[in-house]
Amino acid sequence: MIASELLSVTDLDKSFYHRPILKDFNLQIAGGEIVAVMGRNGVGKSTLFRVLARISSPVNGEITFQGRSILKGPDSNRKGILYLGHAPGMYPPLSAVENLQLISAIYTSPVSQSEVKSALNRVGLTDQVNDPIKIYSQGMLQRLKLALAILVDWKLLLFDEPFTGLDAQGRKFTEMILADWKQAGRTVMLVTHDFEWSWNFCTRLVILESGIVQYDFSPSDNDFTDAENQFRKLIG
Amino acid sequence: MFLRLLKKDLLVEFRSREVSASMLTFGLAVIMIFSFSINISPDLFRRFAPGLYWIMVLFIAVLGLHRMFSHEKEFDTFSMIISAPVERGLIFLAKWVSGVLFLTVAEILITLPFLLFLQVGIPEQWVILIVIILLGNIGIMAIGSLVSGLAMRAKMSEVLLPILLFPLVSPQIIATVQATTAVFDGKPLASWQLWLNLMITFALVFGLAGYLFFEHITEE
Repeated sequence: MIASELLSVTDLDKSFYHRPILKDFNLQIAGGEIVAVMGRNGVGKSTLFRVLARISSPVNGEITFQGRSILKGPDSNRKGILYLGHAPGMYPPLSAVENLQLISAIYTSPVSQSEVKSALNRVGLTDQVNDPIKIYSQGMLQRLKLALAILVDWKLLLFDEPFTGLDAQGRKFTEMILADWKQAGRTVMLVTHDFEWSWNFCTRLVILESGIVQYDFSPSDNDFTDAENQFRKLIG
Repeated sequence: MFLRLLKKDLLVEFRSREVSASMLTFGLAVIMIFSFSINISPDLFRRFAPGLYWIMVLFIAVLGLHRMFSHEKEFDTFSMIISAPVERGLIFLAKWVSGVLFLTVAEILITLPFLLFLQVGIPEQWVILIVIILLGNIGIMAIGSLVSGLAMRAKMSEVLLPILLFPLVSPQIIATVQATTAVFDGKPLASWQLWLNLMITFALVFGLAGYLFFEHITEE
């Protein structure tokens, strides 16, 4: 067990249609870490996040969050984990404000309309906040997810590809908010393909291959060029 | 938490009106087709009416269930909801209760046209008929919500839902049709209590099964 361990994944196996995705997968995350999960397409990054969020069930293994099993224990053991996947995860007929209020209330506690509007302002989403989100562009939906992460009181954020579909301004907003969370010592795991950004921003880079953690880099303890060469060699 | 989940389901429907609109339009279209295509005397039709009514309700329920769960599927909202620290049985209960409400609202608007346009007439024991309709809705939606949760992640969920639902719901439909026929014929409760007991049992068993097993059937 590592100091101030927040999440522990032990001997996790996950298959799809008899094809193993994660095999005896082990990972420990300490509080305050910003972890980039990287690897080739189809290597199991999103699957790992979906298993951690209990959307997908593993074949074997154990996952503990804050020392409590999230596979065998009650649903409340997942309290504090927020999963933001590829899809928006919100209701198309509802407005941004309604979606954020409903989902925040289900995750933690109800939030006021002014709190929602302030979160939307922070991600630069000020127009069409009362329109149904089915008319939103991909970038707007991505910002909406970020606004949800501002509103919900989480201990571990699982953010799958946070920069997908964002324009330069949207990316800037996202980076600023991630930097605030890093400063505040919050724990974030994110899937990204941007090695250079991850090296400069994250405290740890976990590279998956063949269902296990192939490389586990800490930018403060490793040389960028060596690490990048190993990463490029792995992903081809 | 149950009330928050229920509020969410009701608000999504209030904004989109897709579930109620599709149920209502389909129901009224079926009544039109029945009234033009079945050319028999009202007395004879009255004998078939309970069966036709519940077949229509079953089809309406399938349409409604499909739309209800499509909202969850469209932006993968269901993943967001089931990853929340919420007892998944409560998600089932909210879907079940909202499904019963949508089906009941649709029936309020189509039952009267069914009875009047098809010259079935309103039975004397109309209060008991309302109770049977409500019990029928509760049973159909208990089984339907459970099966929809199971079929939702499948690629051809719209096909899978009726294929899985119809055999499971058949005993419930048979019991409901028998009870409805008995009410139309003005029979005393003692002669059809067996069917009433069967309806209640089905609703309880599938409601409890949904609450207990929804967690397992919704995971990938």
